[in-house]
Amino acid sequence: MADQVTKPVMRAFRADLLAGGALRGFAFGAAVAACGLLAARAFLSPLPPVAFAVFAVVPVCVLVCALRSLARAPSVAKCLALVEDASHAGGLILAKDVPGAEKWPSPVSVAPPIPITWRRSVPAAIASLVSLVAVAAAPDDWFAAGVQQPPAPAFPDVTAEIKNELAELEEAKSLDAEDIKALQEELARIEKEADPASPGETLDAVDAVREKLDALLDIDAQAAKRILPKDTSFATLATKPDGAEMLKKMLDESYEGRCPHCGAKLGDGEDECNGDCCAEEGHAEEGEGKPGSGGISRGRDDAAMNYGNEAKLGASKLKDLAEKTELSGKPSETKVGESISEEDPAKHGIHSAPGATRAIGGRNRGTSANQLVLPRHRGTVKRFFDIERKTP
Amino acid sequence: MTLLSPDDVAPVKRDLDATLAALDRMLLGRPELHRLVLAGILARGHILLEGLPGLGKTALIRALAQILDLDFKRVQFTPDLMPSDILGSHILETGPDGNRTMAFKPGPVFCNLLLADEINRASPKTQSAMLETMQERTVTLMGVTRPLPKPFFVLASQNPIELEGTYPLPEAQTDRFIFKLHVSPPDAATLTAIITTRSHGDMPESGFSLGRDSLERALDTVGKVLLPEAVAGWIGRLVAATHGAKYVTCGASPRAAIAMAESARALALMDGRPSVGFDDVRKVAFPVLNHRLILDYRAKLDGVDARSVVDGVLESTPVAE
Repeated sequence: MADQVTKPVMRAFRADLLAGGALRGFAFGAAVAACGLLAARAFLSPLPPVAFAVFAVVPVCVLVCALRSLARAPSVAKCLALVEDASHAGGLILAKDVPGAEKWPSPVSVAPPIPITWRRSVPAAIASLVSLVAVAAAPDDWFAAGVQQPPAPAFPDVTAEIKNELAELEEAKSLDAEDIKALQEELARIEKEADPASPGETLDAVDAVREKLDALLDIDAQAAKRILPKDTSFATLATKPDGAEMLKKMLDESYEGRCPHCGAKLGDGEDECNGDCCAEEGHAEEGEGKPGSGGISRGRDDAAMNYGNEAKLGASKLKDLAEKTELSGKPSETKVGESISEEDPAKHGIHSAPGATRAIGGRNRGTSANQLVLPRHRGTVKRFFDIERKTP
Repeated sequence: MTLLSPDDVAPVKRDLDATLAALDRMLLGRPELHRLVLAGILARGHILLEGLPGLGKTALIRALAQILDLDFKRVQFTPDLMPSDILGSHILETGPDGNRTMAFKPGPVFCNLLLADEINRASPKTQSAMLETMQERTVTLMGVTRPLPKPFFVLASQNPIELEGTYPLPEAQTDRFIFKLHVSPPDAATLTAIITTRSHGDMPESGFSLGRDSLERALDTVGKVLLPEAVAGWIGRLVAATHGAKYVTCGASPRAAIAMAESARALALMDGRPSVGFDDVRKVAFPVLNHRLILDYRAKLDGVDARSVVDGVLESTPVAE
């Protein structure tokens, strides 16, 4: 008898629980699948087909959650109580199975209102579905793994700057074409032999090329200064349309019979100077401008031991200067700071009362100074003196 | 347990209906109150009636005593009332043989229906004298325990105003009343009926007497009304829920659960049913719980009364767990 009353109620409860559990499971499974797919798309490119196996999580979660929800289905006794309460049968439905109940008329059983709980899970399920679709449909370039990055250079192009400079010099014909070609070949060799595992050697070689180029430019600049007429400057030359040609011609003429390194006059049959001048200017053959071998480059050579005082260097142009401090003047005139003192009472029209002096204690006991005593808390003082003295 | 048969229930219901009809005829305009009073009597409980003066509290109890045909005594509680004035005392008597002995002179409590009028005007000492009589239905004096006549009911009345010079009943004593019923003023139609049908406000004769035997049979039948397990469980959860309810300092006692079950049985029998339903519990929940809940200061601040709390407990406690 109880089964007949409770069966529809239990069926309705189970349907609601099943739907709610399935929706919750779908929401959970879709969220997990979306997270998995998101992670796969973020880190794997191209996406392997096995990554789409995360979609299998959804039905599994739906099934598990639905079954777990069914476990919470109400008991027969609970359904019977709900029917009794809805029917207002005065306990007769609950007493259906008690002996003697058959003598009483059967009450009309009314189905109780079944709380619809599955609707509460709909927003979560929709949100999870939308997130899953969004992750699946998002274009590849939204993910870091999908973006085609240009191949990173195996080794930093350390020769680019010099190559550009050489190209400019070649275009401006500021240097001898043979020198430029030699430097370019040297750079090509460096690039070819560059080893990313040990960049030090490459960088040293590039530095050497740089120093060679600087030396060539320096020689040309000195030669240009030498050959320029006294009333002609680079600026004047630059304004002329054929200034560069003129300068080059003058340079070529000037180098006839002079050292190519330092520009010193050579004797008959000599190709280079004896080296004294070059040695003074750092163009000695021994170093050849390579780092670590002395010469004009400081390179890896030991630095002079001057203990931080550059003025001790013989060739230094620095001079010892006495430090000028604020306290160098008369002590009485030296302003060491500002103190926050009481305001000038005269400025506010406050005058000291006769006898309003303050004795100075301590070491200067017995002396006094005409110092104005100002009330710090006017209100307190005022209240203190405004009190009516009620003397008995 | 066997369910009561319709043949068992029908005569009792007929008697109870006649009792209620007689009460309604004697006192106009309060059928629900009469119903609850009768349910309290059938549950073998004591009832506390609270209301303003002149609302017919004492008249109701007198009418009930008249209908039930019980031994009725009335005690007007005053501050100088002593326990011995209620319970009785020993007096020195000289026997026929000339020997003097202490003889027990029973007090007014030795009756079936005791009207304790304005019970909160008596001192705590006298009020406490009622504890044993209400719970154990016995009186112990000079080391001798004497049972009270059966059935024994205390129907007390108290005035919610004029509290000066009164002693509010202690919780231990209020807990012994199965119901605390609020007697509300009658409406205009009832008042019109009273002044047109009653000369000097005198109650008419009942015209019906239930009789002691019928009352005993009804009391026995109440005990046989089925209290289903689901309903009993709900009563238990309701009473337990009062302990954690908002605005409640102290919840209801187990005595409240017993009172709720017994009075629900009585209501079911008065409806002619052999079993208790959830609606019966709902009807008796407030009269049973309202004087047993001790509300905290927040309830006063928020204007929350016992009815709101009980309604909240009823709503928040599902009938099935």
